[in-house]
Parts: sequence; C-alpha cells; structure tokens
Amino acid sequence: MSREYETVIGLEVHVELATKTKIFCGCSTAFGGAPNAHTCPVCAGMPGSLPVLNKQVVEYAMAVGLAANCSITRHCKFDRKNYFYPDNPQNYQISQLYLPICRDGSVEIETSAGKKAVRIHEIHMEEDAGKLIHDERGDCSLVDYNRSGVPLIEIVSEPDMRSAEEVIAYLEKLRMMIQYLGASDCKLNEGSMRADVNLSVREVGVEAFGTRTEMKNLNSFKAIARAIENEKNRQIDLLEEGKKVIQETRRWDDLKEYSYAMRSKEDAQDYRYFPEPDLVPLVISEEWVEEIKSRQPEFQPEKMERYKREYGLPEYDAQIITGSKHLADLFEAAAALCKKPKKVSNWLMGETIRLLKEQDMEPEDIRFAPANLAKLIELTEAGSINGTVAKEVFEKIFEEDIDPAVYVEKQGLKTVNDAGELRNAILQVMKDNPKSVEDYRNGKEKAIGFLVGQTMKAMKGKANPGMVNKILKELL
Amino acid sequence: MKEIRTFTAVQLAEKIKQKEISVAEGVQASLEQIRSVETEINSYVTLDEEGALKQAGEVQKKIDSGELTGPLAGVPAAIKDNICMEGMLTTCSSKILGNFLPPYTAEAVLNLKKAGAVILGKTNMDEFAMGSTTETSAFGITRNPWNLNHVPGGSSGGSCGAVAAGECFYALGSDTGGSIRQPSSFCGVTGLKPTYGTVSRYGLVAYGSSLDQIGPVAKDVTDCAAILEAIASYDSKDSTSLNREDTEFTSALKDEIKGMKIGIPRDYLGEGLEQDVKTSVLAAAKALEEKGALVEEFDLSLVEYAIPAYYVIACAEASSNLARFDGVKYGYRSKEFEGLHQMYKKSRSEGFGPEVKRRIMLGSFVLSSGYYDAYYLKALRTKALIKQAFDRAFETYDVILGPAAPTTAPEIGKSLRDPLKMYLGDIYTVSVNLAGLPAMTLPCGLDAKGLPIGLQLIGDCFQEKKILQAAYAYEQTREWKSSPAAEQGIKGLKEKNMFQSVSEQEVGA
Amino acid sequence: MGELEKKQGKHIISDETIEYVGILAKLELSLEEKEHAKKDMEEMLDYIDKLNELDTAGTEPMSHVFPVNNVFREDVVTNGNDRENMLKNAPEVKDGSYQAPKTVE
Repeated sequence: MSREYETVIGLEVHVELATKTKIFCGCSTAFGGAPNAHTCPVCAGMPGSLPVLNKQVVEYAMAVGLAANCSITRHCKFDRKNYFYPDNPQNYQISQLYLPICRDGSVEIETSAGKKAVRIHEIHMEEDAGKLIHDERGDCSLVDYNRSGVPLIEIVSEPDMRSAEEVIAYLEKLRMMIQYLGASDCKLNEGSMRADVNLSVREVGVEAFGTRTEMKNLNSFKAIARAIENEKNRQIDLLEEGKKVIQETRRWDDLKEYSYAMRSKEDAQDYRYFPEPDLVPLVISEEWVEEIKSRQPEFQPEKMERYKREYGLPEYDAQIITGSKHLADLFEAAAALCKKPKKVSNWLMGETIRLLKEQDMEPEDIRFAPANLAKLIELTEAGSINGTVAKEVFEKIFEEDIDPAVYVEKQGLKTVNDAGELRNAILQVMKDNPKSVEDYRNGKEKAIGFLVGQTMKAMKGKANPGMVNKILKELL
Repeated sequence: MKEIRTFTAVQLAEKIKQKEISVAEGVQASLEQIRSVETEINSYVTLDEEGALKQAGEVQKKIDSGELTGPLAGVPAAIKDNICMEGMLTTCSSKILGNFLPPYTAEAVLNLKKAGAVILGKTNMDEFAMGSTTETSAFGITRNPWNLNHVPGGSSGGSCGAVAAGECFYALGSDTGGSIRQPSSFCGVTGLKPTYGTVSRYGLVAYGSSLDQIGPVAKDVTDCAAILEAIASYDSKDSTSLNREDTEFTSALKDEIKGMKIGIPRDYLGEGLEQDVKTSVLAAAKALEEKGALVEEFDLSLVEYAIPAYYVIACAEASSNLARFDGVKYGYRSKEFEGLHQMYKKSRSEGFGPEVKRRIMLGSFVLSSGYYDAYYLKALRTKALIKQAFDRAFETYDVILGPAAPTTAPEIGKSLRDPLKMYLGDIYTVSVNLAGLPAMTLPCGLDAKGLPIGLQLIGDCFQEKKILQAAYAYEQTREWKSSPAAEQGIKGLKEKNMFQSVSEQEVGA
Repeated sequence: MGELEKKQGKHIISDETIEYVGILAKLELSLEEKEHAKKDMEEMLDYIDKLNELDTAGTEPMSHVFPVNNVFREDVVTNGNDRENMLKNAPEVKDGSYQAPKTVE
C-alpha cells in the first residue's frame, strides 16, 4: 500500500429502554410470551388506532441526554418515517427527525492512546419494529409484533472515532452510563443495544470525509471489531484500485466475516418524513430538566472514589467493580448485609470474575442474590466452613443461587472441629504413610504438608486446617 | 299520530320515554323505510337488523328501569363506515377492507351507546372518505333522496342520505374537508363538524389525521346539539383530544339572536356560486337580521388558497395513513404475486379505487425527497395564514355565514371525470378543517330543480354554542321539509317521475 | 428524483417520476393508469403552484392547530393478551404469527 489511510467512524446506537410498557400503548415489553401475545390495535397497526406517548420514555431519554452532556430540546416533536416492511405494522415508524429531544453532547472515552471526547450529534426517541422469523419450510416470513412499539433511543455520534478500540471504548462508556441510569440493560447479544457503524476512509492529511457506508447487524464487540477491520480494508482496496466507495447500507455476516449491500430497486430510501399529526408537541420546562437532573444517580467515577474512601478498596478493585452497575449494586448490597466489604470485594474480584470469564458471561448476567454471598462470607468468617468448601459452595451460588447455609447443612460440609474425630483420622493417615512420618521426624519439615493434605482428603475437605496442623505436630 | 319515521331523534326519544312508542317500534319504523327505499338509495354498506332488534330490547329495559334517561335514549342511528365497531364490518367502502371486522369500537360510538343509541348499521361513503359524491365507494353509489338522478354529496353521503330518506333518525359522519357539511347541504339535513379535538378520533379510520373530526348528521339543530353533547368527550386514547368543560351544547338551543354579529365573507359570494344558492343563503342572512342579528359582508381573504393547501396536507397524511393497508395484517391480499414487494403492489393496486390511488400518489410525491419544503411546508405555512385570517374575523364576528357548497347536488356521473373541478367544490368547507374550527350546515331552501340548499355557519374554535344558537334561531323561521323519499317512499319518487335508470357506466371515470 | 420539469409554466411529470412515486406508494399502475396519473398530477401541481403567490416567509409551518402539549400515558401495563382478536383479520396466519411473503432472498 503506497498511501496511508485514516478510518473515520461515527455510530448510531439504538438502545431499548427498560420501561414496563411500549412507547405508544399499554402493552407489556416483557420478553417471552407467545408470538403477538403482547399486541393491541395500536402496536399492531389496526386502522383507527392512535398512539399516546409513554412519559417514562421521555424521562429516560432526557436522563441519558443529560448524562451525555447534551442540551435538551425544549420544544420537540415526533415525525413519521415512511417505508414499507412487514415488521413495521403501520408501514411508518414514529421517530424524531426535525426536533430530536437531545442534541450536542459528548462523552469522554479512554483508550491506550489516552483520553478523548466523542461528540454526540443527537439522541432521539422512536419505536422498535416487530420480529420476522424466516420459515424455511413454508418459504415465507412470520411476523410477531411483540417487540413492535418497544421504546428505543437512538444515540447518533459525530464521526469522531478512528479505530475499533475507540468504538468499543465509546460503546462501553455509553453502556455503563445507561446501565447506571437504569434506562436499559444494554445487551448487545439480546439486541437491547444495537450499534450501526458509519465508516469511511480518507488519506491521512486530507480534510474532506470519504464516502461512508453504514454497517448493520453487529451483535457483539468482537463482531464490531471484525466488521470495522473488514470494511476499512474493503474501502481502501476499492480506492487503491481506483474505484469508488458507494454510499450504501451493508449487512455484516459474522460467521462468514463478510458484509453485503442491502440494496433493492424497491427500496428507494426516501422516507418522506413529516410531523406526526397524531401526537402533540413536547414542551420541556426548565423545572422538568432540573427534576431529572436531581434524580440522576451516582455515576461510575464518583462511585469509584467513594468505594476507595468508604470501603478502603484498592483503585483497581474499585474500578472493576464499578465498571458494571450490576456488579456495584451486588457489592453494596452484600457488603451492607455482612459488613465485610473487603471480603465481598475479594469474592467478586476473584471467583466471580474467574467464573464469568470461564463461561463467557457479562457481569450483567450474574443471577445470584447478594444475600447468598453475604451468608457465605458469614459462614467462612465463623469458621463453619473452610476455604476449600467455600469455593465449592460459591460455584453452586453462582450457578443456581442456592442458600449456602441450607446447602452446607444438607451436604454435610460443615468444618469438623471435633479434636477426637480429627485425632483418629490423623492417626490413620500416619499409619498409612510411615515414610512421611519418618521424613518429618528426620527434620524434613515439608513432609507435614503432605500429611495435612492427606488428612484433609480423608475428611473430604471438611476438616479445620488449623486444628489438623496443631494436632499433627503434637502427635509427631 | 304521525308516521314514526318522521319524528326527529329527540322527539322520538321523548315518545319512548312517555311510553307512547317502544324502542322496537322505532327500530321497526327505520327498518320498514329501509326495506322500502334502500334498493334505490343504497345508504348502507352493512345493515344489522338482528343486532338492532336485540339492542332495542336491551335499551328498552334500561329506559324502563330508569338507567337511561337522556334525550337520545332508544333512538336508532347509523354509523359511517370508516368508524370502527367491534364485530361489525368496517370497510371504509373499500375493497381493501371489504372483510375487516374491527377488534374494538370507536370511542364516539361507545359514547353514543352510553346515550342509549340503537345502531342499525354502517353507511356508505366515498372510499376512505376521499370524494365529494359517494360515487367512489367500492359498494355502489348512494342516490340523493330528493332526486335519484343526483348524488347525495360526500364523503358522508350514506349517513346524510339515510337521515334524509328516513332510514335512520340520525347518523355519525366524518369531516376532513367538508365531508359532513357538503352532503348535509345536498341532502337537506343538518350536519356539524366540531372543533378539532372535541370528539375522539380513536376508532375513526384516518384519512387526514390533522383534519379529521367525527360529527353528527341529523334532521334538525336540536338533534345535532344533543348528539354532539353525547359524543363529545375527552379521550386519553387520542392525544389530540381536548379536555373541554363546555360541552352541554343543548343549552345553546335558544331562539335569541339579538345583537349577534354575523359576517358574510364576500369571497364566498363570488365566481362559481350558483344564483339559487346565493339567493337562499342571503335570504337566510336577511331572516337572521330581521330577528335582530347584526349582519355585514367582509373580506375574509386567502379563500382561494385553502383548496391547494388542503389537498397537499390531506393527501400527504393520507399517503402515510393508508400505507398500513398492505395485505399482511388485515384486509385484501392479492391472489397471485411473486415476492413481498409485488404482494404489496398488487394488493394495494387491486384493493384501492382510482380516487384513493390518485391521492396517495400525490401525497407520496409532495413528501418525497426534494419537494417537502416546496409543497408540504408551504401548505403548512398557508394553513397558519388561513388560521390567522379566521382569528382576525372572529375578533369582529360571532359567526361567519355563507354557503356550504357553490352548487346543489350534481347529477350522478358528472363529477369524477374532472377531479380538479370536483375539488373546487370544497372551496367553502376546507378552510374550516385547516383552522380546526366548528361549522355546521342546515337547510335554507330548494333550488329551481327542487334540490336542497345548505347554509353554513362557522364559529371560532370552541364556539359550537354560538353556531348552534344562530342555527336554532334561523331554523325557527322556516318549516322543515323532508325529502320525497322520506315522505312517500320510493313509490312517491317514481310517481314523481324523478327516477330514471342510470347505467353504472356513467358512474366513475 | 430530479428537478421538476416545466414547460411554459406547466408541470411535466416524467415516466420516471411516476415510476418512482409508484415505488414509494407501493402502487402498480397499468400503462393507461400511468398516463392518467401523470395528467392528474400535472394538473394538481399546476393548481398547487397557486400557493407560490403567497408570501409565507416569516410564517412558521403549522402542523398542529391548537397549542396543546405534553399528552402522556403513565408507564403501566393496561393490555392483556388479545392475540386471537388481533390475528382474526389476517389474510394468512401461521403459528400465531402474521404470514408474509419471505423477506430475505
């Protein structure tokens, strides 16, 4: 490659809001349920039905906008975006084009290259589409409107990112912020957070932007990174061959690591936006903005500082735990119950993170109750179970959210503190391993470790290791 | 005793309350008249005889128990076929909705039922309310009960025809650009388009959402006021619904007009207005003046811009509102197609009639990339100027008086050949919808051919009471004339030699 | 879509424009209907041009006629499962879903 290129990336991020009901009707947004069980005349596009705006959607959108340093549009409206597709029951989507609720924000990201601000062009509210299932046998598509009308915000960034690393840092920042607000769980794999990547390349030093493409269907950070790399190279190859990049929407196939253009002559991409006549304008007062501001939660930076100060956690631990709202909530709740914040932190930083990695899970996927972790800590602190058993019980908590006290009792995992019982076990071990006993008595102090281990094994791990040590020394 | 069908709705309710007439007798009177004239008039798309008799029994019980006491309790009514009723076909007079059974009932109809209405069926209309003659219906034309060779007007031609022919005591219509007022004028009945937001649009199949309002079609002003009082309500399911407290409209039925300031726009009396219409309308103004109203002519201005602005806005909204008719969720799906997009195109092309397609095409065009500002925004700016012109007029006048349409009902088959000319007939009605104002029409005479002429009264927003009061005062000065069809049934019409067979070929173009 | 063509101040709607609007509106017109549609649209646009006589500079576009704002619902589930009622009008139903021609190639 003779020339050097720079990649220019902007993101359109769709986030499904965590409201109980849809944006324009009283249908539940709950997952599951038979196809079309959560539908009504409004979200199924019946003739004569009319939308009414869910107030919580506006409040979530404002909260996200304020967190992203946006200005709130005091007088905003909804518009109709017209296009035909079966997942869209009205064949128009109610969205915001002319007066989006939030504008001109920015979020700070941090990468290996340092800190950087990514500007937010706008955030607007809109409705989600239904789900299409492709029925191979019937050679048709099946339409389920359960997701139709679920509220979304679309966060549109400026083309401020230059690498996949920055894109991922930006998405992680947005996700953390929105999770802290409780406005969404932001799961890429479940579609509650979806990122479309607008990407162009230009020669280094050139100011004008190149022609961009929009990449859709990116369901994980890994897919995003791969798609960015692939699209960057595709565009550079085109330019190097003297060809032009065509402005188009492309769909990423992560299995084939390949994207293709989603073009059709029946798809004119002329959305004929106009103000939605069925909804009245939104006028957002200063008081309302202040009220939302006053309800903003403690975000990650403040929470991290507080953990260091209040609980004495090391910087690194505080950062990891506050990096996920769910993990932070878990920490605080468990710490409040057992009053041992450092122990809680240890369990989260150690075993929890190990198990998450092992099972390729996100902290948001943790399902155990803080009370069960707190109880486990109390059991270990009281010496009722030893460390080995505790790890085993924790895995059970992690998998099935069991009550550790009940589990320990049922499985008979309580530490044996009965000196008589331990003595009998040790005598048997000494009898079975005369060589080790001999070695110890001849000054090989290390041999005691082997004997302790054998005793623990014989006691099925339930022995109190301190007592085993003490009794062994006496007998030897 | 008079024939039951000749009573007004409020009179019939009173007779029912006095136990002189039963609810079932009232229903039977309508059904008999339907049997007599419907083959020629064709006001109804769906008639629910069985359901009506069943409702009659239920309503009678509630009246007897004292649960229902309102001025409309027990009175049979008809509903325009673009207003949803659960389990009853709602077709919008279109092939594309030919088999549609709504899963819910429109708020306005629920309100009527609460008032004790017995619903006879659904009335014919121009397809999706697009038209001025009821000739664009996919289920046949409706004929004018005054003269079967003429149209009843539109788009609420079935509702107005049914009331004029005595096939029901009152009806609901919808008005987007004059669709209640113009056919009321052509059929010699009284119709009212309320202030935008007064009657819930929930359940009204949308044509032009920012303009559509449901309203009453009745025999006289008293009925109109009573019906409006029953259907007006704040509805949390309609975001554009207004929470009004001044909805006891019957309180305005006073024969007092002294000192009321009435303005006649000179712009409404110019070119294109038939002499007979002008004479009758001015005579009505004179009658009000003689009763003490202060009447003068003035320049409203911008009248000629209302039609182009209206067609841009209404067609743009319609192109979007009617996108949902696509063969996926309900209604007509083409039998043969290849792939999704052809299914859409064939279902819609086969399901919609020419006038609907014309308006969808125009609406899609004016919203398309590059033309939005020049057409759509320009029309919205014009709308703002028209509203300002009305605001200025209402600083001086209580009520604006004029004709409802430039002519009386045209002959069948004469209108659709030149759509633009047909659109021009909306000149006195569309600006009212653009400005969201209330307006009503009531009969004020007959032309040389014996066809009814309508007087239009326009009020400032929320001033339905003023126009009802003026209309009521005017109504006291003349005798109610019923149509030949209502008077003598179809025989009377035929004996009068007013009916000549019109071949279907002459209809539509 | 290209610049609108005009001849002696009258609109000329091209075949391409009618074709394009047909794609937007999802309407398939016969040759005869297309000719009609062109004529109708030309006439209507000429007529609508009348609006250009008006000076609307400085006038805000009015989409809503009354200054009513902030109409909301609370975030409370009010609808139950009514799928049978929702699906009963569908031309084709399969597995509790609306059946449409396949949307992927």
